[in-house]
Amino acid sequence: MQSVSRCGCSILPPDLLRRIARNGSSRQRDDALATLGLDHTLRLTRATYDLLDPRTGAGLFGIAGAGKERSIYDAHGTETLPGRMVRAEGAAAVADVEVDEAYDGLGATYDFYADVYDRRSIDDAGMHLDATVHYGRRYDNAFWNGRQMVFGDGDGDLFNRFTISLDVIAHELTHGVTGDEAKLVYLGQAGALNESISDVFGSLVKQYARRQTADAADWLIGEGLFTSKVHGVALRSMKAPGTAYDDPVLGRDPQPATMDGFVHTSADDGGVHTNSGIPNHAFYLLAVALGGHAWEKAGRIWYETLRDRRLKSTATFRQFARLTAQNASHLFGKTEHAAVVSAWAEVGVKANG
Amino acid sequence: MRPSCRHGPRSASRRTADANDVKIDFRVEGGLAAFPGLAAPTTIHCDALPPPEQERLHDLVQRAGFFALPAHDARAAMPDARAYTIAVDDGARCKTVTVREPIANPALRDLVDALRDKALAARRSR
Repeated sequence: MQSVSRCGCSILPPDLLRRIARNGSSRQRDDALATLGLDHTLRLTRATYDLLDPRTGAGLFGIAGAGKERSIYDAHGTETLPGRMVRAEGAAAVADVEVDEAYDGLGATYDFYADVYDRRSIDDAGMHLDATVHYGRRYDNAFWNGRQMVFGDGDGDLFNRFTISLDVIAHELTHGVTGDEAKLVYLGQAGALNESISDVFGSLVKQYARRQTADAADWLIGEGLFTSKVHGVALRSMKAPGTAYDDPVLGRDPQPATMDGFVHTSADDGGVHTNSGIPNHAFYLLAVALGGHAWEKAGRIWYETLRDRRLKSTATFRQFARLTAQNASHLFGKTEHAAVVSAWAEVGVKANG
Repeated sequence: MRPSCRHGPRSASRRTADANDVKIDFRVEGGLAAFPGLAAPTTIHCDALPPPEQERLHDLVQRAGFFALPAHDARAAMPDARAYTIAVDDGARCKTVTVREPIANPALRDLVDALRDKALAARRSR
């Protein structure tokens, strides 16, 4: 088999490099992955998202992929992004649980959006799905930087690795979907909606992977992230906001379930991770009221509302709720409209009128 | 409440900083979840630390160019990335800086790591 030059301007087509990565020797595999990583980084740099037609995927450089295109990078404990590519699309599993969890989690999330909502990746135009693992030193967080997902290993004391929960991976990727569609600003109620939408679809990806019905799902976000030292089951509970943890070091889950508990604060970009409990709980109530698989009706109503051109980037809970009620009517009918209005009413948000 | 230097340095008349007498207020916001315990502000009195730790924090403040940093991070918030507010009072100067992740300045990143560890240790000892 031919050797692979580590050059950012590789003459070998990506498909051939991927085959070498899958079938070559250990060294050939490393070289092919490194070249793919360099090549992919250069293409990403050249092709800013503004140059892509979001509907057709036709880019100036024609980079939109035809299907699922995942790339997992390893930051090796640094905070330099994206790091070194360690697993490309179609490559075999590697002896690194974080790499494989990220790869599989991105795949499950892509499949969910494609199968259920006919959406091709983050931008509905085949955008590459990139994630970096082993980010930072004992880094106990995960975030979306506008272009890719980033996962820390956790400190091992309070937090396990951040790839451990499928819903957390789907949560991060959904921030990309929201950034492509409604572009909800990350502040105040719009920011809490942004966070809630990531929790909603994060949970739905997990439910879809398990083929669970609404009443069988746990509705937890980040189960497994805490070590055994922490008194808690997850980061958040959509079923019972405010009950996910109560720990001497982390404190008590501050999420309200209804508007009566809405937290007015300037911290955390206006409480985006706190007040998201309210729309989270409304979605849970709706899903359970409708029954069956939550992604079929409740999820479809939320997804179409996220894509609704009337949804402003500065939307309030009430504005979002009204659109969900209208979309429930258009998509399904009176029964679903009434269920949406009722779910929002239970959390103190008026969705009709 | 966020750390701040609204009242100026503790010893305005002093002209030189003292590595032993540095006071640092530190606060974390955001991240994948809001943890009230981790978000509570922490004050670190360097004179209460062992000399090697005092020197390390002093060195990181200097290498980060802390007193020349902009007070606010102009970048837009990235979903789930954290923001850190640090107020350093070395007796002669007091400055408050808010920085968002990811942090490009290596010394500032190391300073944040060190302060995060100190804050966690302080919470555990309560």
